[in-house]
Amino acid sequence: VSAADHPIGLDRAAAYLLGELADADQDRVEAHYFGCPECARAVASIEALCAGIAAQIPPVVSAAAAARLRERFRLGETRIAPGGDADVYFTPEVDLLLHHLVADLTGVERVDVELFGPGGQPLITMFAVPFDPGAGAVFIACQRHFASFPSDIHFQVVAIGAGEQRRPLGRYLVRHHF
Amino acid sequence: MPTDALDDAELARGIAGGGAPELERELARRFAGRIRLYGLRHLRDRELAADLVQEVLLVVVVALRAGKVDDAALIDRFILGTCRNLASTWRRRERRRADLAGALAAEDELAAAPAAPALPDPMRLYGCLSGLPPRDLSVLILTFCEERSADEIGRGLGLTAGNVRVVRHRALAQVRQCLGAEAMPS
Repeated sequence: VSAADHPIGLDRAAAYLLGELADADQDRVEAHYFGCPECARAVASIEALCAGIAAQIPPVVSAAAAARLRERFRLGETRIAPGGDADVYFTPEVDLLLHHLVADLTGVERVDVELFGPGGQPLITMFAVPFDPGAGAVFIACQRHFASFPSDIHFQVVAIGAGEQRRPLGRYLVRHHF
Repeated sequence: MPTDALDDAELARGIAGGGAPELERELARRFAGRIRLYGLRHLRDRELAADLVQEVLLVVVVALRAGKVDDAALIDRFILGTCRNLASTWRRRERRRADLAGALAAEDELAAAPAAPALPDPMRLYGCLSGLPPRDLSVLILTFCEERSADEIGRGLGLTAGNVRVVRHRALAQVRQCLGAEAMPS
């Protein structure tokens, strides 16, 4: 066991698990944890944490992640145009609701999604959400445990440019029926 | 002497010659997690990683029984080398379980290698993630849920890849602390 490699810290372990280390460094990490039960346990614990995060369903997902959700869950999907509104129903037949907030994302590098309550009060801003410029929509993965939010939510999709310049792309009213 | 009091080299020597199933099980208990980690990193698939554990342990035990491991003191290196060889072969061609595996796994109970560590409770983890600053949460989501590289994330956030890694580290540390994970080197 090389003392220089001990202990394998959180940042190095995460970089290893994500495949970010150069080959030689990766080999050193592996040689170390194969001979060091303490570091093997530490790396395994970080792997479990990372896998747990990967298994979460974020409130906004990319088109690719939405496709993966379709394989795993029964989705109730609703397409909503900018300025439009929709009633969505969390019936026993669906596991998740997927709202397609239609927006022209061409050339956009960052998208924030702002949520407002029924009286227009700001609820939360979801910062730098996953999106695909070619998808033509931002996908909200609405989950049952969001029932604590107000039923009527106004979503606003905002493109963020250089210097944090905001360019609203659309506003959408969704009335949730849990 | 109880098997867990033996060091790795003593275990390896004890297995040589065969007829030591309790030592083989102890070897499996010690190394299954490390082999699994290797498999997760290089095969990117939990099921394949579990298969790799079984197959590597099998190859190693068969080699030890047959006296084909030259230096028992370097058993960890031998196991790592076996991981590399098998994973490399599996990456080059369609994975096909060796005929040997089914026959021997049933015989020597290596299939009873320890299970993978449990993932954090999803709702508790959700609560911890919700407590992160928005940018930190975004970095974790884009990294682990969307499998974006630090470079890709940095372009969207106006950060360097190095800064993304710093944010990621800080966020992971905060989530670990929130979950009450046992202290680990930082």
